[in-house]
Amino acid sequence: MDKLQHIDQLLKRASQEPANALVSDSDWLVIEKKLRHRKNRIYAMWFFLALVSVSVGLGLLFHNSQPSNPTAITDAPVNKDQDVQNEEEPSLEQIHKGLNSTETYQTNLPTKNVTKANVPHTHYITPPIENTFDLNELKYDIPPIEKPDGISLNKRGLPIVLNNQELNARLVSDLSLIPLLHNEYTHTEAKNKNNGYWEVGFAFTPSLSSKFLSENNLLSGLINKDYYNFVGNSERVAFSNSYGINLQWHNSSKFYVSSGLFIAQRTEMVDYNYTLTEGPIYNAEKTNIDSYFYRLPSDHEQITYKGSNSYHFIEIPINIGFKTPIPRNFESRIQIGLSYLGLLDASGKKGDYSTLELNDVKDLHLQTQNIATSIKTGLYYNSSRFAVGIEPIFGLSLNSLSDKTTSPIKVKPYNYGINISTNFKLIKK
Amino acid sequence: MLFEKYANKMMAICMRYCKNQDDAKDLLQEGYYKIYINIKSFKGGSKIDTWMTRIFINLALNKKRHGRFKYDHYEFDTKFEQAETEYEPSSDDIEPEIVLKALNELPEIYKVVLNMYAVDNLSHKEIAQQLGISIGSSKSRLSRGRVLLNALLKRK
Repeated sequence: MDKLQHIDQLLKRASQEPANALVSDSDWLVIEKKLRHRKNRIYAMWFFLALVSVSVGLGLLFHNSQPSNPTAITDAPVNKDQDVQNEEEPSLEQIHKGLNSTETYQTNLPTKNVTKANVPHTHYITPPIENTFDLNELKYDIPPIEKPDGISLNKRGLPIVLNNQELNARLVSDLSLIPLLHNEYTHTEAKNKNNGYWEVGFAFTPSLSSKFLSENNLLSGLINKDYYNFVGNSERVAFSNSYGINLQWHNSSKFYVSSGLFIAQRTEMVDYNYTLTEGPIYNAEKTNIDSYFYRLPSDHEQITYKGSNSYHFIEIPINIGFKTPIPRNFESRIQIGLSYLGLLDASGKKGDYSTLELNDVKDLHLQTQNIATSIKTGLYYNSSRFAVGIEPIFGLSLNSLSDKTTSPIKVKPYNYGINISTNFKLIKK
Repeated sequence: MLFEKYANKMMAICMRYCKNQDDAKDLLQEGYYKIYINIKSFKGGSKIDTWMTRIFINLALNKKRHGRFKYDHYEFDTKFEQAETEYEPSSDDIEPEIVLKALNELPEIYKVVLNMYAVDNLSHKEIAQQLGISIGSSKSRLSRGRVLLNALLKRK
């Protein structure tokens, strides 16, 4: 069969850039475009989500900062020293317009921003418009209520009955009654503006995790020539999660601070399948691989391992957030901050950077103290007693998980997923 | 761009390892993506086109390993039995396009070994390692591949 070796020459000649293997300019443009696209695809998706969320938040903020319906507000100038009781009352005709004798009163209580600087402290009601309530439904243990002359809002945006001081006292002292008379959101806001409040709850974040790899310049000579082909490219994105107690302090502004205590799991899928036929030869200082020696066939080592490596951390974040109310008790929130990540344990196997042999992950020199940053933004349903939120999140370790003094590869894990939080509000009455 | 300089050469490799031009273009794109993200690992120990060639071959073989191409052993066995009876060498002045077309008609297991040995200058040891077969199998496939290709070229 040796005389068929001319086939090799035929093939070699034919394979010198055949005419049908020419890459046209348009083909090349497609390749370049796809290279850029694939590299940035994941980041672009999350950047887009973040951009949309921030845009919506800013849009709503701008929208909410517009003056409320001027027709429902008097044009009287602001006098901050003026007490509600002493304010000049409008004429009965102005107050009682639309009031009937069934003791059911209709108001157009503003649902938000009633205490804006350019708005008078007292807003006399011009019925009938939105909210309806029946004073008889209030479980007041007081003598029969005298028919009031009208309903008004005090400085804090709370309703008062104009000619009944006893009822007013109950209205002000018993805030639990206010939702019957007043929009719930305004009620909560009014209280929160004075007291601030805590949110405590449970948060769960399913996510996908991967990592950024870069070379440690001081030790990069120790990276095996086949490391990326055999090991680096055999490690894939995997499911991760974190869960724990979420704690948030909301003060009177739109900003809030959050922290908590979480258990976070980062994982990576590995699928190693290669044969070690060579070994590295180091220089005298063992800082560089000078060359490689061929192993005897009997020393060839088949590396086959498929599984997931996992790393468990205890996570303590400190974040600052910004919230924007949305109609129907929703809020958009954006939160950014830092987390302390203490490595609890690690399990699995990993190909060595130099020898490509398999090592137990727990035997690697890993940083036990880590700092990460994260950004999340999304929607919360916000009632008077609890808040439920769902937020896309992106987190990135700021330091390398591998020890920079011994590892030629810097590993910065990142994860992207959905944070789901259920928080109960602890409001001081 | 440096990579563009070698695009035709890499495309030729892709063509030799793929059944058709569409697969070859896909392979070209994937290969360049892999080169793009791994360029830091190129230490200059060899010429860059040699390094790139290795990446393309590895990628093509990986695709084959993952079942992208189906080997039809029965079809081969029949063809091989027929080819063994047509052992006279083919002419040396055959058009390159005809040679490549005939190569593409070979069953994958022989086409790959022929490509790796005759064109990409890999040793039987390296071929065996890359394909996860024994050196003997590599030699056997090369020999049978030559016989088959010779038979196909004689019929053209």
